[in-house]
Amino acid sequence: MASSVTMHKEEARTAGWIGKRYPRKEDIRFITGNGLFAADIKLPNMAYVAIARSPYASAKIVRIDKKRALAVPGVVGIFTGAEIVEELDPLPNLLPSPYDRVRDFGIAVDRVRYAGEPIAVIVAESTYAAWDAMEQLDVDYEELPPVLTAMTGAKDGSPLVHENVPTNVVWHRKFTYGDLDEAFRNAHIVVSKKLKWHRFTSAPLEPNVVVVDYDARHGIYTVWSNNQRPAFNQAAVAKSLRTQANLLHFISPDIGGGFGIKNENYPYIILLAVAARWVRRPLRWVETRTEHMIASAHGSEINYEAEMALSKDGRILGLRAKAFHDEGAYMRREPIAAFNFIRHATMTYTFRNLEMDIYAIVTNKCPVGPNRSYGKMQQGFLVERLLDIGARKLGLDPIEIRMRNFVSSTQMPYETPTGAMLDGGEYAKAISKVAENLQYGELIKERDRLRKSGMLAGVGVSMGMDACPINFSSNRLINPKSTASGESEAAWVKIDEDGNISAAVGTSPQGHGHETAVSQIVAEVLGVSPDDVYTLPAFDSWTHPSTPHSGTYASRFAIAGASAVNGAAVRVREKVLRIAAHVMGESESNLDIVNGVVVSVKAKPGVSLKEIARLAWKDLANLPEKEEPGLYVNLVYKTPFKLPIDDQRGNFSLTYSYSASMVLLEIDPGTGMSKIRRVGIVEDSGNQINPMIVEGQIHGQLGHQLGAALYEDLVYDENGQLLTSTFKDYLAPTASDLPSYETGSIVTPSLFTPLGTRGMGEGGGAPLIACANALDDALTPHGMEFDGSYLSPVKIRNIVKTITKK
Amino acid sequence: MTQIQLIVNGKKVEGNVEPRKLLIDFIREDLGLTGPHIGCDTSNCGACTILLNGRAAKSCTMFAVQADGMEILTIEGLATDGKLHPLQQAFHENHALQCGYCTPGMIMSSVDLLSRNPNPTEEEIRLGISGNLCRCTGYHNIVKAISSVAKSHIFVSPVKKEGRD
Ligand code: FES
Ligand code: FES
Repeated sequence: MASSVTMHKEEARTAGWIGKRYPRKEDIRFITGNGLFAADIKLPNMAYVAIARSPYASAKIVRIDKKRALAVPGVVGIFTGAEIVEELDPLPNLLPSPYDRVRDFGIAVDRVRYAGEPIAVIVAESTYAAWDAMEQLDVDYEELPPVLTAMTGAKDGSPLVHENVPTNVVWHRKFTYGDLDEAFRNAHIVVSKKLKWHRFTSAPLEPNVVVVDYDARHGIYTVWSNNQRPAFNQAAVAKSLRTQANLLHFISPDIGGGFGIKNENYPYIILLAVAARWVRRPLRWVETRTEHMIASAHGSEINYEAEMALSKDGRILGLRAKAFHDEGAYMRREPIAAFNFIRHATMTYTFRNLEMDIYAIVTNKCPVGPNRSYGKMQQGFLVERLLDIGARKLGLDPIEIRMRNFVSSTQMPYETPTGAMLDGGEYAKAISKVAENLQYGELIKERDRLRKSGMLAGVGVSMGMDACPINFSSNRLINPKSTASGESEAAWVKIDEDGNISAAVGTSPQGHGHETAVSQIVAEVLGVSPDDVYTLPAFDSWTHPSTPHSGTYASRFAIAGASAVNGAAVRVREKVLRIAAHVMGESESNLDIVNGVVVSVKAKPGVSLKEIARLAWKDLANLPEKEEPGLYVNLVYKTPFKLPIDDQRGNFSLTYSYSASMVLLEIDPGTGMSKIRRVGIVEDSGNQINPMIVEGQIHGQLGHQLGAALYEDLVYDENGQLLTSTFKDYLAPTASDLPSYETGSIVTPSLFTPLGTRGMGEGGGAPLIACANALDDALTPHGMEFDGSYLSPVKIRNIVKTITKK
Repeated sequence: MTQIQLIVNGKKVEGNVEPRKLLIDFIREDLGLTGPHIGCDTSNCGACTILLNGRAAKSCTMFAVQADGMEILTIEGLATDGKLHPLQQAFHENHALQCGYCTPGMIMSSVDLLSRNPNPTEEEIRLGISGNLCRCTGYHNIVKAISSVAKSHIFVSPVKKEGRD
């Protein structure tokens, strides 16, 4: 059984502040109730917004009559989609022609395409009044037949989700690497399988929130939102609003979890901006949970038809898959989820022959968008499920078959067939370590005991990979017209005239502890304590540095954010040492900063940072001749990325964190309910800035992944109504649904980042996939297999019924 | 509009509210205490948890008028004399929060749990906070934090005995 609360097992560590389990600076405001979240913003003369939404999955809007709604006491204004879009340009979309014709404004104009799609913005003196008015809004619809699955949407003659494009298959590409025919000709066995990746969402606890104040004097919109990459989205919002990005003052205060979904609330910023300008009052909109579930951004939903060729000794020879992605009604970031397989298509393995035939299909459902481990865990699921089935067919242990296929540490850096450059790691060590931590042999015995007692039980393992950040040149493979490449992040570090140290970075965290991590990095470089460094909280485009890539998404902080702030701190340090060398009559190479004092190896009296700061800002005549005044460095870090190698290969991420997970699953044959008896994970994210935070991220991955495997499923009925639209039926797990976690880490520094760190946080889905593998382990002794990522009690119950009939 | 009087974090407050106004909206919008949060519309998430006459209550599940004459403690009133409550301290030390959105409700539920059961097992802790959702931490460190307070017997109830039902 799981011990009560297991301690994290940790190995290597770097010296100094980087690598310390430093308690988080941001905690104090949250544990005392003093966090500042967007819904806490209250401005003088503020009015409140409710969004009226379509009850139908697909329908024509025949007429909207505002009369009765406008008569509701407290109503300030009601604006329909048709009125609002007069002021807007459509949101950008990545698709090549002719699918770039899809017009998306974040609000329906004359046709609705999913249940929950916004149709009108209602402004009132209170949220209560706005909702009252919403009930009185008369809308006539003419229902149309909805498209509710990718497979039906792809068929000839299917109704069209967007009437101005020729088919619902809005993006299709086949990527081929190596020689598939040869691989399958040489196969000892071929595992063929249809697999289903279910639709779920990371559902942050804080729903989306937007507050907009329009200043007519300067034409400036001040936007407080919980957008998790405000600087990134600024250009798109400005374009849609037909204004300039520098006239948008974007603030993301504390954010109550994002997980990718909060990249996608920018359409609401646009709607509120128009309304705020019209009513000349600051506006606040707070999404309800139901709105969040039906209309924010769902994780992807995929039907795979796949086959894997394996040799007699369990080597993967090739993988061939068709993937049908149900994208929902609008392609805002898509087809990135569908395309993201490419980041680490072959995972931790050496196989060279791969074919991925990808279809992105629009349906009358909530749009798909970034969700923790976006497109990455899905590829893991495909590879790891097939490999596991292959192991069983060949009579090989699931750990052994992985061992036979791993890229070894001596092959690093290793270029995969898709052009990904793996940046180091010890994959075999990770899986051995998780097996050791959970005592694999004992776990199998425990499984067998459970089976004897009448339970279904299985042990599952899986690898996961978290490739990050995004080399935006990958967009060129989606749309040849794209001219983007690389990515970047900005930071500044400043020592003021009194010696106070501040730092800021453009990453807008959502619980990631960047105030602490940034302080640790700066403290390490400047020879002070993290307590001496004030890191600006949150994000404000007028105080924080940023680039068009800024934000916290794609697990990018430990690469881009950390490198930017480290680079800025190093430059400040160099300047401090130059000035100190000048006043001390010493050579820079003899100097170091220790506890806030510049000291010389020659044991002369040191000079404090405070004194250097005073000189740098206020005693300018005493500065070295060529030195500019001040101690202030603003640095833009360019993540070292190249253009694609060709039209289907490239290194689209810089670091490749990986993990190995193992679970013992128990299934009650009576109810079909699964329960996790044990779960372990070992992850390698390279050097860790703060192992406590890293471990917390791994716990968070486990919560999301196990929740998704066992409880969370976004289910639509045959009319396109989401049945799991609240926390009553969308079963986000509680503490009593989840076990305690046995986590561990190994540390092999990344070969490619200045601090040896890898991006992490999203995870690669290993625990979820391990659950699916464990279920198969439980079923195969009965001659049954499972095909999904959601361990649906109903489906399992039906399988059990077949077993008992046999 | 209905006149109500309550004691909130030890202070007398008065309000004039629409009968349909939810208690959480009264606390957040009228009193400006934005520690308690809103995470759902079906009483599932517990982000809005406060102590009402000494017992944990989801303040989104009742009307402000129903709290007339009662005593409320929100997260803002938990630290006394500038000193963190042991549970607040333990959440900090055990990294039991990430985004901090669930934290005020989670801590108030933990207060209720340890008031009723000072020596809970891990299972009892998990059950005790199962009315509160957290999407960031996977609960592991929250359980650890609560159990650390219980094990070291440093829990003090912020509620006077006679205030409890
Ligand atoms: S807001 Fe009260 S339970 Fe969710
Ligand atoms: S810490 Fe984010 S929801 Fe709990």
